[in-house]
Amino acid sequence: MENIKDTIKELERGVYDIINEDRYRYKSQKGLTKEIILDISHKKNEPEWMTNFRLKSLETYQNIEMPTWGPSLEELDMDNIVTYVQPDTKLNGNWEEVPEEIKDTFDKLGIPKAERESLAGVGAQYDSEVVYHSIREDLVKQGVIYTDMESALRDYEDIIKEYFMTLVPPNDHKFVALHGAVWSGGSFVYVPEGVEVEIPLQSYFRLNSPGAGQFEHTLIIVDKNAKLHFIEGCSAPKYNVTNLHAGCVELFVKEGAYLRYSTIENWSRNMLNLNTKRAVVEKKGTIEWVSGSFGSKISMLYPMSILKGEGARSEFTGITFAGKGQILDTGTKVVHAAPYTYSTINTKSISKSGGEAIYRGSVRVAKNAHHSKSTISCESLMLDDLSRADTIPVLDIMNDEVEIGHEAKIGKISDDTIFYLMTRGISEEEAKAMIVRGFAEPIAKELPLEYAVEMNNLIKLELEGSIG
Amino acid sequence: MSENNRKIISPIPVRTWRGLGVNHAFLEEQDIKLKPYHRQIFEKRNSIDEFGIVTELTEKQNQEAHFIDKQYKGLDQNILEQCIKEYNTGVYIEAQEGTSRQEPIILHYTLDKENNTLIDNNLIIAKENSEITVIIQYDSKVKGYHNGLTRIFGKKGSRIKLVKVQTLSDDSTHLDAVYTKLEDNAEIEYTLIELGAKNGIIHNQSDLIGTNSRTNLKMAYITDKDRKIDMNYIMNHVGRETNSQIDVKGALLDEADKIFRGTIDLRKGAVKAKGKEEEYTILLSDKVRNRSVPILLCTEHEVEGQHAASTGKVDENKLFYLMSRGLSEYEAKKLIVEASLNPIIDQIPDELIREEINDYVRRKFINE
Repeated sequence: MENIKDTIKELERGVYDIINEDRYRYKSQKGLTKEIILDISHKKNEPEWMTNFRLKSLETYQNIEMPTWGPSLEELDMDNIVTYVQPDTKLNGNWEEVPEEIKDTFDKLGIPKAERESLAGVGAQYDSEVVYHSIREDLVKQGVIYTDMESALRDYEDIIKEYFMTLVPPNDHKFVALHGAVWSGGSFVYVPEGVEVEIPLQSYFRLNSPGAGQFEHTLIIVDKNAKLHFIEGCSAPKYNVTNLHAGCVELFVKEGAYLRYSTIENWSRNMLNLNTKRAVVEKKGTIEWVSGSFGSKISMLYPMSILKGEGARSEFTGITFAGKGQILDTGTKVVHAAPYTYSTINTKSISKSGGEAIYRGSVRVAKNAHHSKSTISCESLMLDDLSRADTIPVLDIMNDEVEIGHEAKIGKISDDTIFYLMTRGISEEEAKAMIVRGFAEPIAKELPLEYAVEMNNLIKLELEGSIG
Repeated sequence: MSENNRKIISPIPVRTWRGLGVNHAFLEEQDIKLKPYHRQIFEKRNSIDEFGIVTELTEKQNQEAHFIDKQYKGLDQNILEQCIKEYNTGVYIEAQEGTSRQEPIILHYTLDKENNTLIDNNLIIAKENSEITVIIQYDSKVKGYHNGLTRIFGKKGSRIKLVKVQTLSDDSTHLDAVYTKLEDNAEIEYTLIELGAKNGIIHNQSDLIGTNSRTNLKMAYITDKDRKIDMNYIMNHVGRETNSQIDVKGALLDEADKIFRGTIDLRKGAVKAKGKEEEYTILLSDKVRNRSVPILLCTEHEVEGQHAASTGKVDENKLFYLMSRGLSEYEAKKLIVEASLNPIIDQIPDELIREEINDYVRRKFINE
């Protein structure tokens, strides 16, 4: 059967591409100097230890070399990135008080609607600062804290000082050091012992200002036997200048606790997404990552689970869709650092129209982590011969009482399957879309409904370009 | 490049996180005094018959190995140059067009007191539609240094079987590179047995250039004590309908340290290519380190690529059963390891060599 040729069109990203006028109250100078850091810190009225932390991170940043592996980051010119953009509004607790233009964007993205219907709390960040935060009364009564990082630093300074960038230290890699120096915004969540938050909390990050960087910090502590589902969404309109996202997520899952961290990332195609996410899981705790990577020009994103306590578990479910001009280098890392720890990795990637989807992962089993189990499965789907799909996993095992299984597959949509579906009266386009949806299905079903719908819409958007 | 006194060699085709130590192999810097090697390597010196040629490698033949990819660096530029410019022994094998040699050609490299430095440079040319089997053995009773290069050119429709058996002493250095280039419909089957050496660093690059060219690599190893083994296998699919398979099985004992790096590169244009790699490791001690990097690279969509790696302890049920039949724990483990490796060892078309390997494996377990 004749191979199906894909045609490429520029995609309509609809609501994601809404550009608002770049209105801000304050914008830092371009580039990165001690003065800029001091300026940001003073604007935020930070305690001295945080100012010093930023300066030390800056020093670290200047001393660490760029990554020697992965996609080229040549185009990243830090002298042209604005690290801090304060939107022209204050932090609002009431949706109606959010400025019209910003509100309109989030309305179109469906954030307040989702809050009304299915969320226990919402945070919305616009450029460098959180503009809206709300949490349900009953959760507040149970002692749940959900607030922006700036407020947290003011109101819960001791906790922040104890945890902030201890799991992901600034010397971990260059962009974490950068984050330590210029971080702004993000969310802080604390769920007290035994409290089960049944409905998800959600933060949405929107970068509107051109040539800017977003460096939000998310710190979540789920205390003993507590339970939380946290959702993170990201988007930005497209400009012709490079934007940078170097956020940092630190998750502390205490004994017997459960945390699910879901992300649908749909940054615009001029974004370098160099985000760092890490969870440490204590005895019998569980971390579940659900990660969808659709946007950005270059992504380097590998959420890491450190299974520190006996019986800790991690589960990573990821999907990556790389279209024209995108290099999405994604994956996950797991460290089994205690006996009887379990990890599951399940990833799918789709590449088309010259897009590059790279799975990069590592699973390490430490000497003491006897009776650990890990199951890894990676599948890639190539939709044409312009694209790239690579799988680069590493297994490092230092104990013999383990069971590790790893599988990976690369393939294309079977012409036979398409042909079969077509004989059943389904058009070629629809057949192809059905197969891709089926491929993504195991991931979609892990997402909350409205996100699954969003993901399906994204897949549809992506495929329309190729099939139309 | 060097890091402390360790040389960084044998890079993987794409790098990953540095902290995992898998981007390269490491070789302790050592002073190698180049010495001549005088032992006879094959039975009939300089034979020419109706099946082709088996002679000591001449400088002219060495220079004429133009088929090799210009980018090819083997383990490292210097190590490769040592083989090409300073080799102290080597064999040229040519299979005559359209012939099929049934008897394997056996090259036996032994290191002894007088000949403890071996730098061998072997060249195998299989002409159109020829069939040939070559067995290369490396063994030693003394501490030695081995750096070997085997270049293979499979012309159209040729079928090559290459068997390599390495049982060097536990304190020897073993550097080994194999480069193969295949034309249309050419095929190579590798059977590689790695049992000895303190530090074994093995590189195999197969360029599947011709349409429907095929490689099938089977490898078995046992690594014990504080020995190290590093494998870097690279299958480059260039031609249409090319097929590669990597199948590695091994056992790690004591404080052994193993890195398996296998890359299947399905390049644009390699339409309907298939690549598959499988690795299975049996762990027999809680002090071993077992690293695997099974890489799939793909820039062509009409392909199938897959890899699988698994690791585990010896099956407790099997062990219990065997021990209930009166076997000691080690005997039982030996039996299980043998059962896993034998399908690969059995591929060797020489009974004497199979026996030698089995003896060697048995001795490994008796020493414990």
